[in-house]
Amino acid sequence: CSWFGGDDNEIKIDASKASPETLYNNGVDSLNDSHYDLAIKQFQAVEQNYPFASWAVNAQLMEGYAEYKRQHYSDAVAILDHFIQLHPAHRDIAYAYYLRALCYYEEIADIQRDQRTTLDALKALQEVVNRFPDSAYARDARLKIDLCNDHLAGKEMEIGRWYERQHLYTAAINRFQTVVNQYQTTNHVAEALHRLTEIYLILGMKDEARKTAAVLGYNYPGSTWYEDSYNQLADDNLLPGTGTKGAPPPPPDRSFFDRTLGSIF
Amino acid sequence: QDRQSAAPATQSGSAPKSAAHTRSASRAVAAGGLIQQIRIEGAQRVEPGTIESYMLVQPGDPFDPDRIDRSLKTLYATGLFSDVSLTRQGNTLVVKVVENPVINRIAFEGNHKLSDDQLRADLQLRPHGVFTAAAAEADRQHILDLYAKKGRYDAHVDPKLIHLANNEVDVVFEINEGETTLTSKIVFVGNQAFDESRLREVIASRQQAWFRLLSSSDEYDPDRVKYDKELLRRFYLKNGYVDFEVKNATAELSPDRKSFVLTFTLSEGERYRVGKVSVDSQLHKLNGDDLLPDVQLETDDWYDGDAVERSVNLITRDVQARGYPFVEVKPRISRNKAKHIVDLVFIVGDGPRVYVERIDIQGNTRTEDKVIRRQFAFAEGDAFSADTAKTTRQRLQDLGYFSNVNVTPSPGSAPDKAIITTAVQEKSTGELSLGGGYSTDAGALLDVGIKEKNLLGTGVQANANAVLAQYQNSIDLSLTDPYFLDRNLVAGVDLFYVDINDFFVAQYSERRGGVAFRLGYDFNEHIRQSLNYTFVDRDVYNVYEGYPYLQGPAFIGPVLVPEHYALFGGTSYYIRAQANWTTLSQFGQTFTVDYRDSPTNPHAGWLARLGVDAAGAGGSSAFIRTKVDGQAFIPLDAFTGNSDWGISLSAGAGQLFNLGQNEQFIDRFFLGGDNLRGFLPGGAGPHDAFTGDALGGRFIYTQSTELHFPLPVSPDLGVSGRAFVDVGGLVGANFENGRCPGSGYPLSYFGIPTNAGSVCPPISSNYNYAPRLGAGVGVSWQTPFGLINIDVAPFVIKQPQDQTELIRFGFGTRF
Amino acid sequence: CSFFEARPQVRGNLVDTDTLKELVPGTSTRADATALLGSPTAKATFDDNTWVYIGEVTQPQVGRTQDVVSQEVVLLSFNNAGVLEHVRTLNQDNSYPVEMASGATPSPGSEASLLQQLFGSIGKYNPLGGALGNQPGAPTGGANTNTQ
Repeated sequence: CSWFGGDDNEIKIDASKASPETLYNNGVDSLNDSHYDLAIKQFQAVEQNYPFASWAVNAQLMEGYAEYKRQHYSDAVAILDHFIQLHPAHRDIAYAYYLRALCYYEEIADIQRDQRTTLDALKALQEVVNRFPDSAYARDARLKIDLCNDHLAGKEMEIGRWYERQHLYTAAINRFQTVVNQYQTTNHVAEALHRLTEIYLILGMKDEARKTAAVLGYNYPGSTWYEDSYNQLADDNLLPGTGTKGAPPPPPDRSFFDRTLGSIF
Repeated sequence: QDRQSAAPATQSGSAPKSAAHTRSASRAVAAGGLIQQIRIEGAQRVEPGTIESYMLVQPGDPFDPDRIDRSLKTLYATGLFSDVSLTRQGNTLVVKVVENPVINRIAFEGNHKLSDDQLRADLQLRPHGVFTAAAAEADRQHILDLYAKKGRYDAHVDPKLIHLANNEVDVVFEINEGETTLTSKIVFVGNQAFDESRLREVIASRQQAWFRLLSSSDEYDPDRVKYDKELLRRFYLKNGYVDFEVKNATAELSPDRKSFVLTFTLSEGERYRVGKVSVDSQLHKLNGDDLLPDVQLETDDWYDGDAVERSVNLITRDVQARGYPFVEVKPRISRNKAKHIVDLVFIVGDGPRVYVERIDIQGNTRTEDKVIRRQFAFAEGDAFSADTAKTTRQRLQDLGYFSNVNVTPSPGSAPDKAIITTAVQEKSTGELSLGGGYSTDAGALLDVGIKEKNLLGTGVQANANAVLAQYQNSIDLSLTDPYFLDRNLVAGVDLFYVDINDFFVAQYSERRGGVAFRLGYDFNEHIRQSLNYTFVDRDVYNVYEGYPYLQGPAFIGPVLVPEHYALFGGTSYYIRAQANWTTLSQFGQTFTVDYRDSPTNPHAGWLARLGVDAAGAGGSSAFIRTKVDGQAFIPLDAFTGNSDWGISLSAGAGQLFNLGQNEQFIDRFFLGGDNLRGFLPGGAGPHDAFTGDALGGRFIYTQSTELHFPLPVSPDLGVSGRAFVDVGGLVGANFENGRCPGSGYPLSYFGIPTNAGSVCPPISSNYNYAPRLGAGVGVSWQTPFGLINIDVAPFVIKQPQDQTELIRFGFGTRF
Repeated sequence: CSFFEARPQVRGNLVDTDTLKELVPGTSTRADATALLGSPTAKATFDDNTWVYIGEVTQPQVGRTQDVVSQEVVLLSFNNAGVLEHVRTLNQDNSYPVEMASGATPSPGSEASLLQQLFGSIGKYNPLGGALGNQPGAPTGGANTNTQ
């Protein structure tokens, strides 16, 4: 497409005369050619000129999609919210919720920054899963929920590591325990357990250190963090007889905590 | 199109919402029978399916008036409809709706003080949204409140509707801002101890005056009047009026609604002296008397509210340092009305035991989390106290990254646990500064700078600065990380290039470019040290011979010389001998002990610094240069009762030891300009007897006494005056064993008929330790366009060949 | 000498010895412990019956992160009925030397690239965009029947 704004091959159609269908299809075409600004104008033309035709309803949804594609997420959310309020029983309502969740999802900040956008995304994605549990969108939403949780866990770990480097062990323990308790499904749990072992050793709590390392070994036998814990315990010669290296692999589909309690008692 | 008023009362067409709502509900639907069909009329934009989903009755349900009425209410609650009516026709339930119009555009007319965006910020009405009369009224009130805050109590706002096709509307807010209501007069009733003009200085509100064109302090603002009452209470308490009370503060609007008259009625009561002072400690193993030194008041002093508050803070901090994290200090005053004596008891008790469970930081969309977290005076798990929260908030604000910081505790998972939520509002920390100005050192100058205090949110400061001036051009880039590797370490690197043409000091130009590495650390809050390594390539150039002229018979040293040619002008022989590229490789350290009350504008306390620089290590000049200097600030509040008065004393000395070969003259100390006002920069000290060029010196001492005083003009103008006396001395421009580098001028040059021998130009006042003195007055004026500094030093004591300077003028602006 | 010393700072919950003596194993309950020492600084990760009170005194050091001058840990283990079984106190001598493992678990999209932070909008985050096919297909591109 040409670099300089207006397309040369765009034929100026008088919006009021053309049928809603042609306007709508023009919009879809410019959307596919990724001329999002043009597509938005064409969908708005449908809404203005044929406000009560079913086309206008679809055009509104497509306008939201075009805004999403050109990364104007807040505008997209405003339009989709309006669509959901006006047409709660529309055929594509699931898609509207899903698109709205994606808009929040795109604005997640990296773990050093404020995670408010991640929490918004989580709420919106959860709404998609609750309202349309078996739709295709729900499957993707569940995966994105895991990614959001992983992100939040990443932030807790980042702060925990910083406190540990500053020798502030109380703060570090609480942060790592939050990851272990609230973000069990994320892949940060292995490192959290290792960090807890480290801190328990620094504080001299050798039984807790052994127990935490055992849980880490039992649940994540292959993880490098378990190796670190193992070596750390070996360096402080706390290993005789407590090695759980050869523990049997955990039976499938028991939740993390059942496996944990199972391994201790 | 014609504009219809959107105010509910006069909305034409349909009766106001609430009325319609009740009228149709009263025609109860006849009960009995089943609803066979629901017919919806008047729905255009909203789909029938949507309306049915909100209805509580479906086809096949009985005609139950109660549920039908509730359906009516839910339909109204959606806010989609201006009117709904449910009627029964046979067995069909007819739902007749009139849809609320959808807003196409919102516009404002007549707003100057507030921009469209400020007004549109939190309106309920939204483009694409549904228009309701209630939301329009709420927005009208919201806009009126915004104007009230701006001091416009006379504003009128009325929303107007432009009806478009297919039930869409444009909403236009027609605004008439009216005049700002100013405070024309401030009156005090019942004040014997202090006169009205003194009290007017205390409060924040000001009377209307010509020079207050730009400031808003003369606009009437009810919140500020409340604050004034608090300022008055603190002022009287500070001066011992324990029974003081502001009876009331009223503001009467003048008949033309243009201005207010503010009246404060006060009851001063008597002035009290301090009687017995004691500290009663209820903490076990802590004796109250040990804390007496922290109390800032003695018996027979006048009672002082601020001193009591300072004492409470000092005692709290002292007790906490002794290992009692949870302490609460309450001052109790017992009055003896007859003798106007008040006894003071500080009760030290157990405070609420609260630990920090978690610190949540919000709003940092740009700054990294650890950059904020490392400023906290406490960590998670520590004891929480209001004092540490206040210090943390102050530290975060001093960073300069945030326009607003709030540190608020909220209950945690256990009664003695608190979650600290820190909400920050980031502001742009990048500064593109474009400055112009004139200073006697550099002449007219243009200053272009890019400063970023929080590079990428990592807390690193980066700035690039270029100064183009008549006599001085410089470019420097610098990068500083205040917490290098998360440690108590400040690391920085500077790249610089400077080109100076100091024809004041001598006829030569100097250019130098190089790199410097800095590493600093704090021993504790008062003592810090910084190490640095600098590598500089520099060149002295633009030196020239000067031209010969015929000079009559004259004595050169002991010899009487007949008529001969001598040089006029030109650069000093000593300087010309050193006009070449040299490199300086220097390690330096600065050790600082800083007990001032504030680094930016100190008012009390003192500072001492020791600097040692060692050059050599591959550089072309080798020397050790030591500098020691100190400053002391003496507040004069006790005598003048006004914190603008103050004396600042400063003194310094420096000695350069060269190791082996001669140092470059540009490495020596120079006296005059900033360190000795009344003299040209480098104008005082040893000079080349022939050409008068300043050669610097190896030993320098300076001393300055400055009295700061406010000028009898309203503080709003930001003008402050000073009187100063500067003293200084500089000696030691001689070269190794008195010989000048190279051979000096050949004697024949002066017409002395010998073929061998030469003479080095004598150096005037080379061993003259006598002090130079410059005394005068100065004023600095913080204008909205920049800071203007003027120093006039008429009274000067100088040595021969010193070059003086009456006025120093500096004006720099950032825009 | 103290002139150079930085002021040490108390961290966490330093339990003083004689209040600890008032807790008698076998009789004191969780409520007594909370009343005397406050709620625990932390609980053992997988065993709510072990309460941990951690107290430290840290001091800023020159050129390094702050040092732990003294450290004290009190462990109270209760039985399931909530009665105190035994009390252990540990201090710096019981501490084991630990070298903090470097590295961290990467969380996707955690490092917005330098240029992106400088010029792009921070927080552009869609690491698995392509893989998951999360490009939302346009709904029913063509006309749809009017449901009226």
